Amino acid sequence: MAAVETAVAEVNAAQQEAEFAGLFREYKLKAYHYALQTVGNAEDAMDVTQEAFLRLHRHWHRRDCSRPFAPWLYSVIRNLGIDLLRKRNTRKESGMEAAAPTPSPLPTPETVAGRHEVSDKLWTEINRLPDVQREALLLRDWHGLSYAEIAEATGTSVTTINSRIHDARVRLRERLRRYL
Amino acid sequence: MNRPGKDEKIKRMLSAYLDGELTQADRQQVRLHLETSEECRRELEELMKLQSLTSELDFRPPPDELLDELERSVSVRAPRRFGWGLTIIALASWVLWALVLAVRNLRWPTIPELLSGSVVAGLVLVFLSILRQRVLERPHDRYRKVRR
Repeated sequence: MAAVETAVAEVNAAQQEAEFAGLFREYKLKAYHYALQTVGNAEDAMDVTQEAFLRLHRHWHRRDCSRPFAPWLYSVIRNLGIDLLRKRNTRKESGMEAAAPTPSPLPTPETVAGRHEVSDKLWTEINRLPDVQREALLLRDWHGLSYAEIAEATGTSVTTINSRIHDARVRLRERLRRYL
Repeated sequence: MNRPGKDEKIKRMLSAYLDGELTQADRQQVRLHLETSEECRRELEELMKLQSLTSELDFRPPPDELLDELERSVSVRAPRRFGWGLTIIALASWVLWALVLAVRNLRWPTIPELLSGSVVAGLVLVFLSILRQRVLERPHDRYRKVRR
């Protein structure tokens, strides 16, 4: 009986590892880009992505398979990114790095490299949006999350996400009218 | 003829309409309004173009070596955490079992028992030493939650 239970546990563990590996391959690039949007530089983005996946793996047994994976992943990345930015600010306020220039938390157009004029202009305008609007817009249009998934990932309501995306698009539309 | 107030109300729904996030009733309301409002139709078209541009934005992918490093790191370190958990449970069970045996058979241990006991004691000491080091270093690592 114990041998059967052990075998079942081993099969379950192997299935979970395979499932995790599959989702890691599927989401690693998107996760990195979301981390880059949050923390603003490649090295920190990679660290945040790595830590996020390690945390998900550690808590894999808590995963509810009936719910989508993306909001869980994005919320972990978001929290880690915010934590990192907060620590940067704390260090700045404490005077530890008063002389050093504060790195921009946003990816510049050069960082995210759109070669075409419209693309460059769009990036510039997206970076000018308030943080919460930019986040909601990119999670919707570039990462492909639904409003409910964005709300879950960012810890807010669907109504709020609806407003943020609408306001972001209205601003962009006004500023990019000649390209539309 | 549409009233300006009605136009504004519908305009606030266009973004969600575009994303398929409206209820069936609201969707129907927007659809009917669009048939009669050229201004709202034009706005919807512009929003569609904008959405298309945003969804096709080009992110520069990270260097291959960084992605390889990420894959290697996650695939190596994720099972390691499971391994640590398993080792702790096994060690604790072993120590408990040895204690139970020692209490039940109160006698001088044999040489094989002494040797295996020394191995266990050594492993436990090494483990406790690593654990202590980690606990001592923890408060000094400002980025412990993020950077590894």
